[in-house]
Amino acid sequence: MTMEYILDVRGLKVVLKKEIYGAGIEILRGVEFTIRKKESLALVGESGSGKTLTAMSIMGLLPENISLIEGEILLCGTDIVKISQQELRYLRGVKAGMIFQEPSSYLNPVFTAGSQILEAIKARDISKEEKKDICVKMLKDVGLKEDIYYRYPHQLSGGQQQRVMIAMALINSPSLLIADEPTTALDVTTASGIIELLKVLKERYGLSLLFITHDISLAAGFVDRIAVMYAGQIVEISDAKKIMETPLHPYTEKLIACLPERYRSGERIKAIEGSVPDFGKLPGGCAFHPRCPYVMDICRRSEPPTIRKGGTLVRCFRYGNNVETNRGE
Amino acid sequence: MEIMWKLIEVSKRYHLGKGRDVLALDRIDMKIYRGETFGVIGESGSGKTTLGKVMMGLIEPTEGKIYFRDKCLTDLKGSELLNLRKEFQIIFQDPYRSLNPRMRVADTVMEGIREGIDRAEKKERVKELLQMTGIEPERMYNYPHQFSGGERQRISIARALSTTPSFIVCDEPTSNLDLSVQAKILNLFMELKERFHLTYMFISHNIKVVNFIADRVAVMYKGRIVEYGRKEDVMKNPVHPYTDILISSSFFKKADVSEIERLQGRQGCLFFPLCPCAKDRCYTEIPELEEVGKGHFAACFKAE
Repeated sequence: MTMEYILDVRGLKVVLKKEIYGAGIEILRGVEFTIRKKESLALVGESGSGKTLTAMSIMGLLPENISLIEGEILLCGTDIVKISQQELRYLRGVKAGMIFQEPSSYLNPVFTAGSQILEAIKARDISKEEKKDICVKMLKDVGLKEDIYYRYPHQLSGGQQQRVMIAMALINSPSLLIADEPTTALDVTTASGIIELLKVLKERYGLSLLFITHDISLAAGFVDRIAVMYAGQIVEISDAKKIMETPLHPYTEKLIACLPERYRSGERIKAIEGSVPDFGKLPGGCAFHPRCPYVMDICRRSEPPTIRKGGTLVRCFRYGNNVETNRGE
Repeated sequence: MEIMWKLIEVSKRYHLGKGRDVLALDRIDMKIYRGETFGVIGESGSGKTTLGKVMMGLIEPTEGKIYFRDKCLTDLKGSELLNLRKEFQIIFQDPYRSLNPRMRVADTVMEGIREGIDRAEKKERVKELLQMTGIEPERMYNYPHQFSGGERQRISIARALSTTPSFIVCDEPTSNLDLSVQAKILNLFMELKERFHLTYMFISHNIKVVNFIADRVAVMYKGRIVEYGRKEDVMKNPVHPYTDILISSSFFKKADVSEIERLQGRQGCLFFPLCPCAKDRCYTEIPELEEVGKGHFAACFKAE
């Protein structure tokens, strides 16, 4: 194992505990992907496909009733599945920071923005004034004025709140930033402001970025690679530009076909039939087969193989059924 | 073409107290023709939703006249207004908040059916409406929390259709939904439009969606319509610098709220502080909507 990867997720499975949900239901079913230093990867898929769950596992934020049982999550070389909560606390924020979809529900309404950013560096052995200086500098870095330090969350706009969240996530200069739908709750122009900021910060801090979204065209606009998730598995990983031009997996193809900008007025959008299956009632074989336009007999019977070629990965019988086991290219 | 809606100098002013006012709508002049889909784009706070609510009679305008067909809504009162209201409906952005969580779906949809028919017939009608919008009628006695976001939006649509309206305001109906669900809801809107010869006003901040579904488009900024016209004209040859920025959705700095409030008290273009091509004149005079092409209007001195 090299340090080349900031994040290396291998065969990650998350299973709901039997006591609560009856049979142990797998909700992440062997997720594998890597992020190199300074690389950005987007996780794309419909709601319920396991994108946020993957992010939460990486941050070690999964609730108690869920147990991580299999796989490795190597964050800067440390397997966070194996270490204790205590050790995890030291890694969180320092190695990986995270921002969320609705900033308003992640900021504490009774504390000022400044004091909430300050909390992350409380443990540092420096004077109060120095700490405040660090916070103010951070606020400037995310494009906010100094006086935001003394404001309460309700006095800030959605865009400003998200910027405060970014400041909190980056104040301990992590190597990886996880952004979980950071722009979904925002306006177009505010959203493009946040995306622009993420681009700038990524360069300035040499960040690796895991960007989670359901909008594949938004992702394709600024990340290096895209991983498409469906029913707790990654079904395709490819270069961001390549995936938009030549999607391999039928699901990716259908996701791209949902974009209204690909149609002329009056045309019907070729929407994906059906909906994301319940994890308790996953269809046999390939989980996507009931919605797939190219479904074959074999898809109903057995799990599709993972086919790797060059930098791409696809999990579909259409590309043969010889299973290669080498990782990466 | 038959004019369905005509708004003349409609303004809405909110008093914030302490002598501060905000103009949510500033002298809106517009027409909507029968059978078209009229798109309204703009950021939050531009007055899109206020415009929709004023037309629905949910908010009273401070000034101006609103005509629906040949009737002046602002003059109508009582039962006449109630009767006319069946003709137009609104679908809200957030299907989680716009459905009563304590009412069964069947009751929610049934509320709009008030004609003198018995309960059994009403029930049939509810089933029909749900079927049309893609909800299995067997689920009509379920509560809203038992449905997904897309399904709830379908229920909102069924409720809107229950009064057999001819016009529907769709206020950001897909912005809380996944792209795959959005695709299906947009398809449903188009199907229903053909089937019932509906006219839509489609409000959204998502230019891609408006560009797809609308025939004509109005761009709003701080309570004013700054440009409107046929979609092809506005999207391909935007005249107002703000439209240009929205379409390219390129990053630009937002003005402070206090700055805008300060500017609203005086004459001049509200976009002045952000405009890449502002001139001295823009600071002292208000640009009015001028025709820049056939049926294409813009409020910018650049157009002259």
